[in-house]
Amino acid sequence: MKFCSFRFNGSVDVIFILAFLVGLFPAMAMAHDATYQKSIASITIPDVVLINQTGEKIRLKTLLADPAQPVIVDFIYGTCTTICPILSAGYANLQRKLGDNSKKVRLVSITIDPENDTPKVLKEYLDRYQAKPGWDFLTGSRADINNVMKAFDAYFPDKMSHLPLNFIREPASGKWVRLYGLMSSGDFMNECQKAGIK
Amino acid sequence: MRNTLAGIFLLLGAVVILGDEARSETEIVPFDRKPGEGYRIDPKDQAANLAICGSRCDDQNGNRQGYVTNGGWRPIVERQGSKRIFIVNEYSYDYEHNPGASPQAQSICGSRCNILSDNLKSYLTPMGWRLIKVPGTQTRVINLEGPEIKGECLCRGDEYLVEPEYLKKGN
Amino acid sequence: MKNSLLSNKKTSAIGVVILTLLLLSSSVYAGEQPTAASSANLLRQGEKMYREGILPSGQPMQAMVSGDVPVSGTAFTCISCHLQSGLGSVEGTVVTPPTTGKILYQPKDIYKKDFEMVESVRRYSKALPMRPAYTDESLAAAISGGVDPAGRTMNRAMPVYALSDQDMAILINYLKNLSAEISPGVSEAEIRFATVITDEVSERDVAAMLAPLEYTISRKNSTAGLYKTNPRLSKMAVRMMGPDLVAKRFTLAKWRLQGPPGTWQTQLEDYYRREPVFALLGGITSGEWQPVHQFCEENHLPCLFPSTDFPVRSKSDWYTQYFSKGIYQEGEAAARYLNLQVGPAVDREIIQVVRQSPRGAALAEGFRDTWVALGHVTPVIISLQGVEPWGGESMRLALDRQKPTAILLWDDGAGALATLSMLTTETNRPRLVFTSASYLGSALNNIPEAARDFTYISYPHRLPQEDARYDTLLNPMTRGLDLSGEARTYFEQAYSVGDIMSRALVDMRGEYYRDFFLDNIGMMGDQDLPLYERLSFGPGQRYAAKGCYIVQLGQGPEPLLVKKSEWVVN
Repeated sequence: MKFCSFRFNGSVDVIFILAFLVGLFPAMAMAHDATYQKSIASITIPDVVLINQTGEKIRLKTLLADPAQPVIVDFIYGTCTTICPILSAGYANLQRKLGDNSKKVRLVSITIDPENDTPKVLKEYLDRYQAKPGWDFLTGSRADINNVMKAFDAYFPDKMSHLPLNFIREPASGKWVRLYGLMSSGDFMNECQKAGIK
Repeated sequence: MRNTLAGIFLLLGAVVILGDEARSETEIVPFDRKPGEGYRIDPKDQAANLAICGSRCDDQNGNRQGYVTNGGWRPIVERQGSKRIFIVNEYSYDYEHNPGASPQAQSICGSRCNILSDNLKSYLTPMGWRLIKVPGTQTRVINLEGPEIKGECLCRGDEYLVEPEYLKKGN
Repeated sequence: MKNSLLSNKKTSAIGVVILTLLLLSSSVYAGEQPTAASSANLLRQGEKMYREGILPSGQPMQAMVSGDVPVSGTAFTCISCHLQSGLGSVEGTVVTPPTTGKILYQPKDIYKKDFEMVESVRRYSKALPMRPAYTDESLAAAISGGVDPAGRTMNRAMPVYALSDQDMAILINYLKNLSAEISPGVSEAEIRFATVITDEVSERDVAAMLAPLEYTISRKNSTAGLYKTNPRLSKMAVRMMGPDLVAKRFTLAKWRLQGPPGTWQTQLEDYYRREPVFALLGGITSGEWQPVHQFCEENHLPCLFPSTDFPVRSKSDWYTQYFSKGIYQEGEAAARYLNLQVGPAVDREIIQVVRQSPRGAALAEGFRDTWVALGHVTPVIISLQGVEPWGGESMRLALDRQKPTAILLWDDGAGALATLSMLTTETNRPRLVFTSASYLGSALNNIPEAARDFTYISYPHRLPQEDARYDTLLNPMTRGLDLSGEARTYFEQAYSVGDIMSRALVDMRGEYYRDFFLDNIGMMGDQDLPLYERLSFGPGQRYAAKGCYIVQLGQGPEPLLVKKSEWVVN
């Protein structure tokens, strides 16, 4: 027995459907090159204490205190499969380009799955991308992580619906550049340079 | 006639907006009163001040009497069985009065404040509850009295009134 | 970077030839007929490429990401996005389409017949572009060049892999066999489940575990005939579940196991042979779950959330999903909390007092493993044989000699209460004495008042006063049940099993593969359900509740529990 099946009524329906598809799912696996969106944000870093991949307690404000140091922040988690590997590959690539000066740029990945991501999980993740000094992966209590997400306007109540986001703090102005979308590494490098990271 | 009506509406609108700001219209309804019944109190009365009503609204037996409404146009009745929950937004250790304290103090403060904080999701998910935000930011103070770290810890957050949904069957 | 060989139209023919040669060559070396063993070997190699990103040669696959970033294929494995079943995933705004041969080798149209009005399917299939069917050659072009059979470049999220013809053939062969058959236990008319019950469990506890499962299943079965009696409700059910799931009946067999655990394997095989099921739901035992766990791993049978204090702790086993690491996790929580109190670098005297029993052993192991991993020295162990509680002279000696900062008292209710009473009068008693709520049982509320300020209890559930909010959800199922003692826990656990199972089945869109069932659970967001403060999932995560509170008892005859830690202590 057929339940509620659509009947094609010729070309009119096709047009509607195509419009619906194109309009509703712009970021899906379509043929065109997906672009990213860029905006400027002013962010107040909450004064929380998180934990890094070596189990050390890190006060977030202190970590990001030096205004002259460029900072890039993203939100990932250890068992993430689709979006995070791309974001992290971008970081790994940047560190490779920086070579021995990897510590010049502070790369901060913050987990959005603090329950599962213990320091051990964080370390394993960083090792998988051959992270060099300068790239920290932070976890903490659920309440603190939620607060950090909200401060960056990147709050995901459900980690499965998280979005690809990068935040670059410009050393010159102290403002944050918010990049939304899966970028090619060339684009990512461009944005880093524009923000003042050499 | 129409102009007068428009004028009245504008005035009422202004009072609503201003009333929200200046809290000139406030109404506390004790919890044993029926909905809609209530009494007005002097707006200059400190007890009506939103930020501190928490303790001032209790009677001499420590029973919760009620709390201040939002703009005064819809009284919020605290019914039997309802409770208040507190969700922490930020915490800070009082480094001003304890200058030598280690960074660990901020971490312990965080831990204690987060324990104090309720989990909002666990009130939203099992249905049959109504959440009403108490206006303003509330602050709770915890005195840390560990062997190594002492001092005050301030937890700032939002308070909500949680009420059972009486319309739901089985309550 | 495109592989220049791929523009060669003979690639597919070459692929077939290569595969055949591989099959023949492997059997020629072994001196036997080309058998299923050789093709099984090829599948294994393909599986290794798909799941681990390792080529048959042992080298990692080379991948390019985001257009131009070279990475090792071990960080970008096929399984990470396409999942173990190959049926794809949804994460944020990125939809990963299925990569099984069955689906790839068919054209993709906008509408999947008879599934148009189903939310989950509509959301998924409409998001993907139309394309003609893949062929071996166009599939190789997609994997190494990032171009779909309509000639369009694929989403940047898909890496491109540099593979030789031989390796590509092995991978494509694996994809053709991936999720090729609907899993056993599913027929046109029904989906069969079973639950495992061992014979030493009391009838009270078994009834408590079964009630929510049977309630969920009977509610679901009532939708099957709805179209005859209530067409409007039937339409709503179809929208939610899809016409296929609505029509199927669920059955729940009870696999009762008798005798010692050594005999369970044969009993399980008997049951399974007589009636192969799609998955195991819940289940209950008072001892080790290990034999059932192993059976499920060997038969690729999903097992959802059995009620046991002793789950198997494994990093790589795949088919059993647990609520938590069991009573071991309470020991773990005590270690994390204690580490927070005393600080990482300082070495303190810690004594573990352990009753000789499976629970005591698991608690002690949980504490020790975590304590040592956090950089501390292995704690001293005092083992309690027989039935005597820890106390008297031996306790005094230990306290005087070692002056411990903390004691872990892994003992049952009677013993622990006696010891705690004795400790109230000891001068050298430590600041912190830990006990386990599960091991104490009902004795928890009877901890002497004088002991309450130094007694810390690991409590693996949401606090009772907060869990009461879920009563409205549970009340319809509690009729006639005795939910005293531990029965309440089993009841609430089974409720969660029913809830999670239903969600996963709805999300499966009529594609009944066991691997996909578990993949869907891995894609679920955090759940707020009765009993555990928070259940969270993820690809490969098999222990849903990661936390455990450390609480103290308040004052008075009916004390409330007071939180001393957060749910997860990091």
